[in-house]
Amino acid sequence: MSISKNITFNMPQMALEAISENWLFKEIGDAHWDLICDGLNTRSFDLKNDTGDRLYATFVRIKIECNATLKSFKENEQAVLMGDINRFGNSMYFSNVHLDAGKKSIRANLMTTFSIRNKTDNTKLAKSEPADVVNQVATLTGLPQIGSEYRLLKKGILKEIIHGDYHFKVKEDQIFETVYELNPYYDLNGVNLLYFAAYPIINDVCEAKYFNQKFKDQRWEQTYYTAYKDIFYYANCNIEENIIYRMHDCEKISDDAYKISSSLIRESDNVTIAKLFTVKSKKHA
Amino acid sequence: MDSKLVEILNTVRVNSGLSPLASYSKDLDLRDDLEFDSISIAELVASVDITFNSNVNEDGMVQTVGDIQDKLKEN
Repeated sequence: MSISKNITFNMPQMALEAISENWLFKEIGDAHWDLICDGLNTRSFDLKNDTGDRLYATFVRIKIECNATLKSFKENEQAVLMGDINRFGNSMYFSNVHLDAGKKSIRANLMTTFSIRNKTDNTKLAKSEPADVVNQVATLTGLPQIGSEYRLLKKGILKEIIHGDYHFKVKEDQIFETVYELNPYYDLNGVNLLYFAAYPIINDVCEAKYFNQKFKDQRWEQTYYTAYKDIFYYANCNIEENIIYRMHDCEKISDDAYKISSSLIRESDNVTIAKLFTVKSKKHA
Repeated sequence: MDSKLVEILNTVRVNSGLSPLASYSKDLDLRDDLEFDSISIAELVASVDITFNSNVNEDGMVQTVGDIQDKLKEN
């Protein structure tokens, strides 16, 4: 299964003179979902489990890496989005999605499972898998690293996330904390779940609070742009929830870049809903 | 119990950061007794299906070791 489409970066695809990270996550997520539906030869709203409940793709982990930063991509630039997908068993799907514009590129790795919704409580999603489908998605023979690392991090066993030159020590220290009030019009998706594409933006809004207090002569949002982000999705939340952002670690790794580790936590029950590992840089191609 | 199934259960336990077990009884719950999370259960089911050419979750999600054995007997 593969996908390929041409994209022009216009205002809907942009924010802060760069590719919008929110748009990017929606686009790569949609590509992943299209690949699954193509492989199962079904439409998304027809996807059901053995008891007839509608299935939703649940993002487990998304990792994006730019060879520069999101600001390297310019208005009116043409890009090609390409992707392919594999699965391990009937419930875990792994896609690789590339967005290339000349020498500039973004590489994304996405992992999903399937869940059925609890109609009244978003904190109680149940795992399930498609029934009565002919699955044409190629099968892997083992759980890929993106999945095994997720499991070990969630269990508190993994102590370091390594991606190329980026080494993130997994820490629980707290160097900054703030509360984010959900914006339902923006953060919730079509079935009232906290949208997977909202997590990185909630993180960035809160992260900017920290850096804008620290550097009063420049706006963090307009100076440092995402070069790498790795999101481990643990849980969802309801509309009335507040989200606690907790920064665990922040390290200047060069004159141009910072490496940041953080968590998003449900305020009502103190459950971690995501862990994020980010590199932001002001060096653009 | 089939030695291949024991091998798969132990592989998933080790991959999940848990110790292997010498034996498994039918009534062991995958979550409560074996401490498997959703990823570990998905890995277990995928590994069993590949090894035994089965589809153990075909009529519903398995909950116990015995559920897997029963599905393999039906296969």
